[in-house]
Amino acid sequence: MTLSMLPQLMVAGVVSGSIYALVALGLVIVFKATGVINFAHGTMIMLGAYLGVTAAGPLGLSYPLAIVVAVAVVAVIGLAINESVYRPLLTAPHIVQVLATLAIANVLSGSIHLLWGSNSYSFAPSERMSPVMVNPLVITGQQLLIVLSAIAAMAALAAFFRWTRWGKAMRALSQNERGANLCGISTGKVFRIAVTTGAAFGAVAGVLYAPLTLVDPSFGWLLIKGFAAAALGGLASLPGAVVGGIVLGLCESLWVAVLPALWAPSLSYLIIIAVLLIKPTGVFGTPSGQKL
Amino acid sequence: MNLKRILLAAVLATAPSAAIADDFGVTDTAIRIAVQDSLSGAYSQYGVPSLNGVRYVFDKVNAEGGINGRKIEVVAEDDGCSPKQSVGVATKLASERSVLAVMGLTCSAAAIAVRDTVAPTTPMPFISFSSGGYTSSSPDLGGLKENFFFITPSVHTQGGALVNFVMNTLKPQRVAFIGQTDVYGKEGRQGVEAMLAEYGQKIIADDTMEPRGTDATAQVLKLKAANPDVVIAFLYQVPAQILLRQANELGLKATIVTSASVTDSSIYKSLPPAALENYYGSMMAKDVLDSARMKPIMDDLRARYPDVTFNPLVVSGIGAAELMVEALRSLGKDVTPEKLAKAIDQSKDVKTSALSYPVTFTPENHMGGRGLGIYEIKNNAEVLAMPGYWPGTEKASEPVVAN
Repeated sequence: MTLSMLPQLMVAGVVSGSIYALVALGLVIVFKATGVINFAHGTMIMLGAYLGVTAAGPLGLSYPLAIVVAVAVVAVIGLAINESVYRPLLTAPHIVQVLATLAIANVLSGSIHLLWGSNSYSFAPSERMSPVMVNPLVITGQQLLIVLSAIAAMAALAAFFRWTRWGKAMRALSQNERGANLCGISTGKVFRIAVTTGAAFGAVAGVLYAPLTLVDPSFGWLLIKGFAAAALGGLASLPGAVVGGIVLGLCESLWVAVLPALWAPSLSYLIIIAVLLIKPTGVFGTPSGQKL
Repeated sequence: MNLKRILLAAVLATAPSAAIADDFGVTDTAIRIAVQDSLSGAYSQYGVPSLNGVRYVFDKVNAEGGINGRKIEVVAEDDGCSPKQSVGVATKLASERSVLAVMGLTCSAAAIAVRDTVAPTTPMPFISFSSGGYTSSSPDLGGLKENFFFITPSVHTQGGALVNFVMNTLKPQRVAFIGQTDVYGKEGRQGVEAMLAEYGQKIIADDTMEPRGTDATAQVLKLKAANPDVVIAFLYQVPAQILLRQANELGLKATIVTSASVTDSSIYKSLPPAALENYYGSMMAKDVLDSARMKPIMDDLRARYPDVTFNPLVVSGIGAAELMVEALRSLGKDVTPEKLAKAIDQSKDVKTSALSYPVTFTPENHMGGRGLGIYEIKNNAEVLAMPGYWPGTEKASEPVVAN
């Protein structure tokens, strides 16, 4: 690797990291409100990508409209899953709730396979994929869109949690469920908002990343990257998810430039293990039990 | 004797005959042949097209009266592209003795696992559609089993074929390589290196990609810095698409040539024409699926199996089934797995309707695939770059036109 490659590698890292951050944000929303790691998030990402590619392809919608359709449909599916599966398990032990997300992941994955088969799908090439900046850096419109979307998503979520009634309710519930309930905050409603919003964020990640690659049954594999980003930043921290994603993306990009790509897949797992060993709450996370 | 004992005695008396047919699926009117492949889940695009290629050939043979009065029945078994599941399925088939032979096994890891663990325990012949047959191509390489055959060229052979094409057609001074971080990339690199040495050249830049990587910026920049004329890529669909897209975006001017694992036209539909201007793909078929030569077969296949999306892997099923039919016909009425394995072993220059190369097996070489055809993309569609196949096992100055 030469130093002249460094700026382009940084760009690549930030773009990949923004995708990971969007995935991580969906995980963090659900975890922050419910304390549950949502293993069905990978299938929401995949569903968003499949719906987006179908809306833009066979249905002939424009890309922005395809994003809206994909996100809206996945959000509705997230809501329906919450009402039919997660809501009856509100009082169930934590492990049962986590296992329910695993079951949903399997059911959704099978349903996606039944609907779309095992073939690869792709977005048609567009002007968005052409470089908008060249020399010394090459940045395409789609890459810019991904980075800006990640920033916008982070800002919107931060505003939601800071200033809206339900955002504050979610924070309260994550700190003290019984106390929040006594103040009139409904656990069921908070779950509903969190699961629906998390699903929508998964769809955003999927439909934004899809034009850069092929959509096939392994697309939900992005979940592990998002999980590594969330673990690094802190599973309950929104800024942590974004920083974790960007750091992971940059590490991967620079790692491959310097070392053989053979070891790159291990990087996500190494980060998860290292964080769990050194600071289980993540870099931006705070311990649940604090000294008075 | 109480009721429980009577029932137990009845079960024990009938169980052996029910579970072990002992005729290897051969009766006076039928021959049962299993197609064990990845038929569901994420990798079903590897198994479903070739299964239906096999069915297509056998249905046509059956419509003409079968083989020596016997109709061929296909028994489909799903191995999920998993070595563990494949060994389980093959073990079941071997112990039941209810099929004469096993075809399929498109996933290399699954094929190798079955070859090394199950094949030695049964006389049934296996014909794999995978590209994992390099170590079965010579007794010295340690993978030769007398009843296990590969219909397609190994990854190593594909490397040799691509080098022959590149060196004679593109005449590069500098050849770079990029392969996956797994055995697919490793064996492809060995094949490319070995054949390049025949031309007195070496790989000038060598890089790797994750099978599910999201970005190839670092790899493209490093390749660009090495200034190659040609990049030979042994990558699956997703990393190949990312490489082609980013090579175009980041200004890598070298011609990119991919191995036969790029099978789905969705990859071309996702890329701008500029990304495909200096690109060649490779295949085992004698022509691209929508060509005039393949169209009659493909139209018939699509009419018979309208729910199946066909990709170039279908030709492995067609080629293997036609070879199987020829071997069965040579046996006459006396059909046993041992005799069938021997007949397959003696297949010499068998021309099939779909493969670009004739298939030959010998007791010393159970890899029947010889090389690859080359296609390019013109007007967003695959077009045969030249007739014939480029041999991969020896140095060749021109493609061989067999069909």
